[in-house]
Amino acid sequence: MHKLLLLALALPLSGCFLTREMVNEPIAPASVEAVAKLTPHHSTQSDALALLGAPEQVVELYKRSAWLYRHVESKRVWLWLGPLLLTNVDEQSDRVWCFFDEEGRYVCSGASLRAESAEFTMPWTDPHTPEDE
Amino acid sequence: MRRAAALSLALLASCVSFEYNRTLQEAPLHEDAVAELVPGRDDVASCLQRLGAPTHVWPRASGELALAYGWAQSTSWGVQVSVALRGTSAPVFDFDSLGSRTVGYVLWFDRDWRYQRSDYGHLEDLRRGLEHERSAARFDEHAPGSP
Repeated sequence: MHKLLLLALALPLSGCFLTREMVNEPIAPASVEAVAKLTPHHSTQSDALALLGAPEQVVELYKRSAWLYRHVESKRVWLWLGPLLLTNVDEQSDRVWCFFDEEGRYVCSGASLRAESAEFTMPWTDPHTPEDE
Repeated sequence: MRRAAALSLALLASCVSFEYNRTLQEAPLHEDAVAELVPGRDDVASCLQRLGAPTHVWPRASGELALAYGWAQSTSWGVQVSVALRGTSAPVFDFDSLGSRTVGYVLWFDRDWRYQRSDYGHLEDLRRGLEHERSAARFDEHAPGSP
Protein backbone atom coordinates (compact mmCIF):
# COMPACT_ATOMS: atom_id res chain seq x y z
CA MET A 1 0.00 0.00 0.00
CA HIS A 2 2.78 2.40 1.00
CA LYS A 3 4.72 1.50 -2.15
CA LEU A 4 1.71 2.20 -4.33
CA LEU A 5 1.21 5.52 -2.57
CA LEU A 6 4.86 6.45 -3.11
CA LEU A 7 4.61 5.50 -6.78
CA ALA A 8 1.44 7.53 -7.17
CA LEU A 9 3.22 10.53 -5.62
CA ALA A 10 6.41 10.04 -7.66
CA LEU A 11 4.78 9.77 -11.07
CA PRO A 12 3.43 13.34 -11.23
CA LEU A 13 6.82 14.61 -10.01
CA SER A 14 8.80 12.97 -12.82
CA GLY A 15 9.03 13.95 -16.45
CA CYS A 16 11.29 14.13 -19.44
CA PHE A 17 11.73 15.96 -22.68
CA LEU A 18 13.98 15.70 -25.70
CA THR A 19 15.51 18.44 -27.80
CA ARG A 20 17.37 18.29 -31.09
CA GLU A 21 19.56 21.09 -32.44
CA MET A 22 21.32 21.32 -35.77
CA VAL A 23 23.97 23.62 -37.21
CA ASN A 24 24.12 23.88 -41.00
CA GLU A 25 22.68 21.43 -43.49
CA PRO A 26 23.80 17.77 -43.47
CA ILE A 27 26.69 17.00 -45.82
CA ALA A 28 25.65 14.55 -48.53
CA PRO A 29 27.91 11.47 -48.85
CA ALA A 30 27.75 11.94 -52.65
CA SER A 31 29.34 15.39 -52.28
CA VAL A 32 32.12 13.92 -50.16
CA GLU A 33 32.79 11.25 -52.77
CA ALA A 34 32.86 13.90 -55.47
CA VAL A 35 35.35 16.03 -53.51
CA ALA A 36 37.60 13.00 -53.00
CA LYS A 37 37.74 12.67 -56.80
CA LEU A 38 39.15 16.16 -57.28
CA THR A 39 42.61 16.07 -58.84
CA PRO A 40 45.42 17.23 -56.55
CA HIS A 41 47.29 20.33 -57.80
CA HIS A 42 44.93 20.59 -60.76
CA SER A 43 41.38 21.12 -59.42
CA THR A 44 40.70 24.57 -58.03
CA GLN A 45 38.84 26.24 -55.20
CA SER A 46 36.07 26.98 -57.71
CA ASP A 47 35.63 23.23 -58.21
CA ALA A 48 35.24 22.73 -54.46
CA LEU A 49 32.79 25.62 -54.32
CA ALA A 50 30.74 24.06 -57.07
CA LEU A 51 30.54 20.77 -55.19
CA LEU A 52 30.08 21.89 -51.58
CA GLY A 53 29.16 25.56 -51.70
CA ALA A 54 30.61 28.18 -49.37
CA PRO A 55 32.67 26.84 -46.48
CA GLU A 56 31.85 27.61 -42.84
CA GLN A 57 35.43 28.48 -42.03
CA VAL A 58 38.61 29.33 -43.94
CA VAL A 59 41.91 28.81 -42.13
CA GLU A 60 44.89 30.67 -43.58
CA LEU A 61 47.97 28.46 -43.50
CA TYR A 62 50.73 30.93 -44.34
CA LYS A 63 50.23 31.06 -48.15
CA ARG A 64 48.03 27.98 -48.29
CA SER A 65 44.54 27.47 -46.87
CA ALA A 66 42.08 24.94 -45.50
CA TRP A 67 38.30 25.12 -45.82
CA LEU A 68 35.91 23.58 -43.31
CA TYR A 69 32.43 22.29 -44.12
CA ARG A 70 30.52 21.22 -41.02
CA HIS A 71 27.13 20.02 -39.94
CA VAL A 72 26.50 19.49 -36.21
CA GLU A 73 23.67 17.57 -34.61
CA SER A 74 22.99 17.69 -30.84
CA LYS A 75 20.47 15.51 -29.08
CA ARG A 76 19.62 16.33 -25.47
CA VAL A 77 17.62 14.35 -22.95
CA TRP A 78 16.23 15.88 -19.75
CA LEU A 79 14.85 13.53 -17.10
CA TRP A 80 13.33 14.69 -13.84
CA LEU A 81 12.85 12.30 -10.96
CA GLY A 82 11.43 14.53 -8.26
CA PRO A 83 14.23 16.89 -7.16
CA LEU A 84 16.81 15.00 -9.27
CA LEU A 85 17.51 16.27 -12.79
CA LEU A 86 19.51 14.11 -15.18
CA THR A 87 20.62 15.51 -18.53
CA ASN A 88 22.61 14.06 -21.39
CA VAL A 89 23.88 15.84 -24.49
CA ASP A 90 25.25 13.92 -27.44
CA GLU A 91 26.81 16.16 -30.09
CA GLN A 92 28.26 14.69 -33.26
CA SER A 93 29.21 16.28 -36.55
CA ASP A 94 29.82 15.83 -40.25
CA ARG A 95 33.10 17.48 -41.22
CA VAL A 96 34.94 17.94 -44.49
CA TRP A 97 38.28 19.73 -44.68
CA CYS A 98 39.69 20.72 -48.08
CA PHE A 99 43.31 21.85 -48.33
CA PHE A 100 44.62 24.17 -51.04
CA ASP A 101 48.11 25.22 -52.11
CA GLU A 102 49.54 28.71 -52.66
CA GLU A 103 47.78 29.02 -56.02
CA GLY A 104 44.42 27.94 -54.70
CA ARG A 105 44.68 24.48 -56.19
CA TYR A 106 43.26 21.46 -54.40
CA VAL A 107 45.79 19.37 -52.45
CA CYS A 108 43.76 16.88 -50.42
CA SER A 109 40.65 16.49 -48.29
CA GLY A 110 39.36 14.49 -45.36
CA ALA A 111 35.84 13.72 -44.27
CA SER A 112 34.07 12.33 -41.21
CA LEU A 113 30.32 11.87 -41.36
CA ARG A 114 29.10 11.13 -37.84
CA ALA A 115 26.23 13.55 -37.23
CA GLU A 116 23.66 10.82 -37.72
CA SER A 117 25.22 8.82 -34.90
CA ALA A 118 24.09 11.35 -32.25
CA GLU A 119 21.60 9.63 -29.99
CA PHE A 120 18.97 10.39 -27.40
CA THR A 121 20.54 8.46 -24.57
CA MET A 122 20.74 8.40 -20.78
CA PRO A 123 23.87 9.60 -18.95
CA TRP A 124 24.81 6.09 -17.86
CA THR A 125 24.94 4.55 -21.34
CA ASP A 126 27.85 4.89 -23.77
CA PRO A 127 26.65 5.16 -27.37
CA HIS A 128 30.03 5.72 -29.02
CA THR A 129 33.17 3.67 -29.40
CA PRO A 130 36.49 4.91 -30.79
CA GLU A 131 36.40 5.78 -34.47
CA ASP A 132 37.56 3.08 -36.83
CA GLU A 133 38.26 5.14 -39.87
CA MET B 1 9.34 17.13 12.36
CA ARG B 2 8.80 20.69 11.10
CA ARG B 3 12.30 20.73 9.57
CA ALA B 4 11.61 17.49 7.71
CA ALA B 5 8.31 18.87 6.44
CA ALA B 6 10.03 22.11 5.28
CA LEU B 7 12.75 20.14 3.50
CA SER B 8 10.15 17.92 1.83
CA LEU B 9 8.22 20.96 0.67
CA ALA B 10 11.39 22.60 -0.68
CA LEU B 11 12.27 19.46 -2.60
CA LEU B 12 8.77 19.02 -3.96
CA ALA B 13 8.57 22.64 -5.06
CA SER B 14 11.93 22.28 -6.83
CA CYS B 15 13.44 25.03 -4.67
CA VAL B 16 16.29 22.58 -4.12
CA SER B 17 17.28 20.32 -6.97
CA PHE B 18 20.16 17.98 -7.64
CA GLU B 19 21.61 17.76 -11.13
CA TYR B 20 23.77 15.30 -12.97
CA ASN B 21 24.82 16.28 -16.48
CA ARG B 22 26.85 14.45 -19.08
CA THR B 23 28.04 15.88 -22.37
CA LEU B 24 29.45 13.84 -25.22
CA GLN B 25 31.08 15.74 -28.07
CA GLU B 26 32.48 13.84 -31.01
CA ALA B 27 33.77 10.29 -30.79
CA PRO B 28 37.18 9.27 -29.44
CA LEU B 29 39.89 8.56 -31.95
CA HIS B 30 41.38 5.07 -31.91
CA GLU B 31 44.89 5.25 -30.50
CA ASP B 32 46.09 2.40 -32.73
CA ALA B 33 45.28 4.47 -35.83
CA VAL B 34 47.50 7.28 -34.54
CA ALA B 35 50.27 4.87 -33.54
CA GLU B 36 50.44 3.56 -37.11
CA LEU B 37 51.45 6.96 -38.50
CA VAL B 38 55.13 7.15 -39.44
CA PRO B 39 57.04 10.46 -39.15
CA GLY B 40 58.55 11.52 -42.46
CA ARG B 41 56.56 8.98 -44.45
CA ASP B 42 52.97 10.09 -43.83
CA ASP B 43 51.71 13.47 -44.91
CA VAL B 44 48.52 15.47 -44.43
CA ALA B 45 46.72 13.56 -47.20
CA SER B 46 47.52 10.11 -45.81
CA CYS B 47 46.65 11.20 -42.25
CA LEU B 48 43.29 12.53 -43.44
CA GLN B 49 42.68 9.28 -45.25
CA ARG B 50 43.45 7.20 -42.15
CA LEU B 51 41.85 9.32 -39.46
CA GLY B 52 39.16 11.30 -41.25
CA ALA B 53 38.55 15.02 -40.84
CA PRO B 54 40.04 16.72 -37.79
CA THR B 55 37.99 18.93 -35.51
CA HIS B 56 40.51 21.76 -35.83
CA VAL B 57 43.25 22.87 -38.22
CA TRP B 58 45.81 25.17 -36.65
CA PRO B 59 48.43 27.17 -38.56
CA ARG B 60 51.97 27.07 -37.19
CA ALA B 61 54.92 29.28 -37.99
CA SER B 62 56.18 29.50 -41.60
CA GLY B 63 53.59 27.28 -43.23
CA GLU B 64 53.78 24.42 -40.76
CA LEU B 65 50.51 22.94 -39.65
CA ALA B 66 48.72 21.04 -36.87
CA LEU B 67 45.62 18.87 -37.11
CA ALA B 68 43.64 18.40 -33.91
CA TYR B 69 41.21 15.57 -33.27
CA GLY B 70 39.27 16.39 -30.12
CA TRP B 71 36.40 14.94 -28.18
CA ALA B 72 34.81 15.51 -24.79
CA GLN B 73 33.13 13.23 -22.33
CA SER B 74 32.41 15.53 -19.44
CA THR B 75 30.22 14.95 -16.45
CA SER B 76 29.14 17.43 -13.84
CA TRP B 77 26.95 17.38 -10.82
CA GLY B 78 25.41 20.21 -8.91
CA VAL B 79 22.96 21.43 -6.35
CA GLN B 80 20.67 24.27 -7.26
CA VAL B 81 18.93 26.33 -4.58
CA SER B 82 16.29 28.92 -5.44
CA VAL B 83 15.25 31.39 -2.76
CA ALA B 84 12.37 33.84 -3.20
CA LEU B 85 13.04 37.24 -1.59
CA ARG B 86 10.42 39.91 -1.03
CA GLY B 87 10.35 42.53 -3.77
CA THR B 88 13.12 40.97 -5.85
CA SER B 89 13.37 38.22 -8.38
CA ALA B 90 14.36 34.82 -7.02
CA PRO B 91 18.13 34.36 -6.97
CA VAL B 92 19.57 31.01 -7.89
CA PHE B 93 22.71 29.61 -6.30
CA ASP B 94 24.64 27.07 -8.28
CA PHE B 95 27.50 24.82 -7.36
CA ASP B 96 28.95 22.79 -10.17
CA SER B 97 32.05 20.72 -10.70
CA LEU B 98 33.10 20.11 -14.28
CA GLY B 99 34.54 16.62 -14.64
CA SER B 100 36.79 17.01 -17.69
CA ARG B 101 37.60 19.07 -20.76
CA THR B 102 38.12 18.40 -24.43
CA VAL B 103 40.95 15.95 -24.96
CA GLY B 104 42.43 14.51 -28.11
CA TYR B 105 45.38 14.10 -30.40
CA VAL B 106 47.28 16.84 -32.18
CA LEU B 107 49.31 15.82 -35.22
CA TRP B 108 52.21 18.10 -36.08
CA PHE B 109 53.40 18.66 -39.66
CA ASP B 110 56.43 20.46 -41.11
CA ARG B 111 56.27 23.12 -43.84
CA ASP B 112 56.05 20.42 -46.53
CA TRP B 113 53.06 19.04 -44.57
CA ARG B 114 55.00 15.89 -43.67
CA TYR B 115 53.94 14.24 -40.41
CA GLN B 116 56.36 14.87 -37.53
CA ARG B 117 54.76 13.56 -34.33
CA SER B 118 51.55 13.40 -32.32
CA ASP B 119 50.65 14.53 -28.83
CA TYR B 120 47.76 13.46 -26.66
CA GLY B 121 46.26 15.69 -24.00
CA HIS B 122 43.87 18.50 -23.30
CA LEU B 123 43.47 20.44 -26.55
CA GLU B 124 43.50 23.73 -24.68
CA ASP B 125 46.97 22.98 -23.27
CA LEU B 126 48.29 21.77 -26.62
CA ARG B 127 46.94 24.85 -28.32
CA ARG B 128 48.64 27.02 -25.71
CA GLY B 129 51.94 25.37 -26.65
CA LEU B 130 51.25 26.27 -30.25
CA GLU B 131 50.70 29.92 -29.32
CA HIS B 132 54.08 29.96 -27.55
CA GLU B 133 55.69 28.44 -30.65
CA ARG B 134 54.17 31.13 -32.89
CA SER B 135 55.20 33.91 -30.52
CA ALA B 136 58.77 32.59 -30.45
CA ALA B 137 58.83 32.43 -34.26
CA ARG B 138 57.62 36.05 -34.51
CA PHE B 139 60.29 37.10 -32.01
CA ASP B 140 63.00 35.33 -34.05
CA GLU B 141 61.78 37.01 -37.25
CA HIS B 142 62.15 40.45 -35.70
CA ALA B 143 65.38 39.74 -33.83
CA PRO B 144 68.48 41.78 -34.90
CA GLY B 145 70.55 39.87 -37.43
CA SER B 146 67.73 37.61 -38.54
CA PRO B 147 67.51 37.08 -42.32
